[in-house]
Amino acid sequence: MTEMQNAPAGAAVAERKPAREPLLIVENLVKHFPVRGKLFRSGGAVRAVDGVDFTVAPGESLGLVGESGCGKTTTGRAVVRLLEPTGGKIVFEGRDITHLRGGALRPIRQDLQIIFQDPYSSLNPRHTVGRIVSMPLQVNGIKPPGGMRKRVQELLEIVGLNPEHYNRFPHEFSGGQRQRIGVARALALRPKLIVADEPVSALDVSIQAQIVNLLRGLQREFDLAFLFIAHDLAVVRHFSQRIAVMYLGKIVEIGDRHQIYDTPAHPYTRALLSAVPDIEVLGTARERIRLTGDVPTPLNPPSGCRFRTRCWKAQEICATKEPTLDIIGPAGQPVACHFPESGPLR
Amino acid sequence: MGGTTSMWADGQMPSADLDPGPVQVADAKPAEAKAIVGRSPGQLALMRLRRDRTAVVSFWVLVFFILVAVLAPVIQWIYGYNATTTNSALLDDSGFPLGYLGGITFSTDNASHHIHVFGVEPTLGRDLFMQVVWGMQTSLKIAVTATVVSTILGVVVGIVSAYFGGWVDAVISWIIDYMLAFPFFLFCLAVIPVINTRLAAPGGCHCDVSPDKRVLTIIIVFSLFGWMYTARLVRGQVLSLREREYVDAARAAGAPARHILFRQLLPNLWAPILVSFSLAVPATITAEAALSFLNIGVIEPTPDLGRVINTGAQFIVGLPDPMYLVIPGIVIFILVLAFNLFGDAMRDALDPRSTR
Repeated sequence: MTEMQNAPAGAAVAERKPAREPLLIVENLVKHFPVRGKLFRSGGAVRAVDGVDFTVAPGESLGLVGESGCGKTTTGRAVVRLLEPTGGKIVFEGRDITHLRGGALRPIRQDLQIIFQDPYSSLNPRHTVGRIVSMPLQVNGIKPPGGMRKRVQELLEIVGLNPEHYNRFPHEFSGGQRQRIGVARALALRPKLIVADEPVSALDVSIQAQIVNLLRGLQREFDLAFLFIAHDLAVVRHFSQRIAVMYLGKIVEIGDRHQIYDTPAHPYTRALLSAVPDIEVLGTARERIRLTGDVPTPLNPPSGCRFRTRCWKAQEICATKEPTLDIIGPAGQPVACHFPESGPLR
Repeated sequence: MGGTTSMWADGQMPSADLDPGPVQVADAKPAEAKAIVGRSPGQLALMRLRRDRTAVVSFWVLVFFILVAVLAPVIQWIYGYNATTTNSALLDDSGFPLGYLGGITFSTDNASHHIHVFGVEPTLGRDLFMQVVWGMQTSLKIAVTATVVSTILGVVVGIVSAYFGGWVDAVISWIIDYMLAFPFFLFCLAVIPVINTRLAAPGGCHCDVSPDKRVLTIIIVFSLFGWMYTARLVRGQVLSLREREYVDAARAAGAPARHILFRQLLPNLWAPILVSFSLAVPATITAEAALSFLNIGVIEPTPDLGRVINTGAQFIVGLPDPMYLVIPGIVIFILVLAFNLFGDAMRDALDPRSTR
């Protein structure tokens, strides 16, 4: 137990696959958005992400879950460097990319792509599908063998679209098809890691499964690593080997799929899982954990444990001492709670 | 039924599952499956525009006027009379045209031995038809040039302002507000004579300003005072467009600012820019006519619709010769109306969700 406490959060996986160094290491990532104050007065900052650690191994999918506004999207955008981190460190393939800029960042960007949530705003309405998918190749000056058109049509085929639709425009496609175009664009540079920012939450449930399965197929075929951001626990369970639960800018629990879903240790994780409707117990009187109150404002988060204002187990220590992920839960996963739960969810 | 069974026999259940393979767009007929070419938003807008009767009519009216302006020398050659020939024999003792309706005549049985389809000018006896034809050219030349220049200026300023943000944006926005606060016509009254004098007499002589330089002055003034509207519009558009995820996708792929501005953002700006352009041209035509009417725009001998109206206004008060005012008035009215109707129709076509 003691040596595990010293190991970083992703140690469990690293031990299982000793040959593979983590592809992505995020250490104490902080992103604050300054708030414009009144004249001569600083407005403080929204602490969207406030010290987040995780690793992603090659070919692995890490799920990042949490309710709206907890900083999952900000984390994902900071990882692909669409946002400049306020603090902390992002290491990709052993290279610190936290503050790389412009030309130095470009080779890294080819290995690090993103899929967006909204398939309607993620495709330029004035570009043909061919232009959209070939854009990453074009801006990087890559001339694929066999020509751009052939490569784009290959990509369209990989994501399950008709390659003949090369000259069509985004408005001629459905939401699911548009999301496939977005996936093809992300694949164009043959990345090693894809940040999928709620890739299915804007889609119909029937289409969600298609896209998730497409992504899973791609993950196996191309040995892709994913940082899979979602608020839908069922989708994450289906897709991710490891899961990190975020609350108000911090990771509160991280572990593999079974640890998180079968024996959740953090009260927040338990509350989240308890909120998922379960068809097997539908109709029976199931004891649900109901959280009261709203998420506190990230402008001025509570002292100590950030979840304490809504937690039914909160004690005095929770207000004074901030729990860290050094605490190991009963099932062996790191959990940022002074009083981790044990046993399966009722 | 037998056929169905054999189809399923190989175990290829057409399940509702997960990856149905190449997805056909619903309306893709087999016949056009070979070369599928999508319709761009621009092509769709053109289709809507073609179905709009007002747009079609105003479009052809505009084409007609533009042709008249461009082909003014040809028209003069065919008509066989020029805009500046004076002929006092066409006028009575008090300087008014002989005959009816300002001297409109379709017979050559008169002092000039020529037809005058719009009549002649009081006091000078010049042919009004050719004045209007050449005046159209002057008006359109000034309005289109000034609007093109101010639109380009506005687009560049707007994009720069929105894309760079921060203090650049603050300074530019402040300048825009400042410029918009100017009373335009008062400013013109004060500034145009000064610029004209500067242009005419760099050495300080008291020579007259050449007509070309007067036109240049007006174009400069309109360009300097017309860009703010486009700049504001473009700034707002860019501010909203740059938050779209396709811009993030381009950034995540490592695209330089140049690519994002010109490849990702600009194609989405064409629609509002075109609309604002087509609505700015008629506004400039009217403003130019107003300047000439106030006698600080185009002056003699350059033919111009505003100047003709200015002259005509003198003759409507005392003894009536209304045609010299009415005819160019109607022409300018139709021209501006056609431009405005076409601009409106274009806006509707480019953004079908907007309501007036």
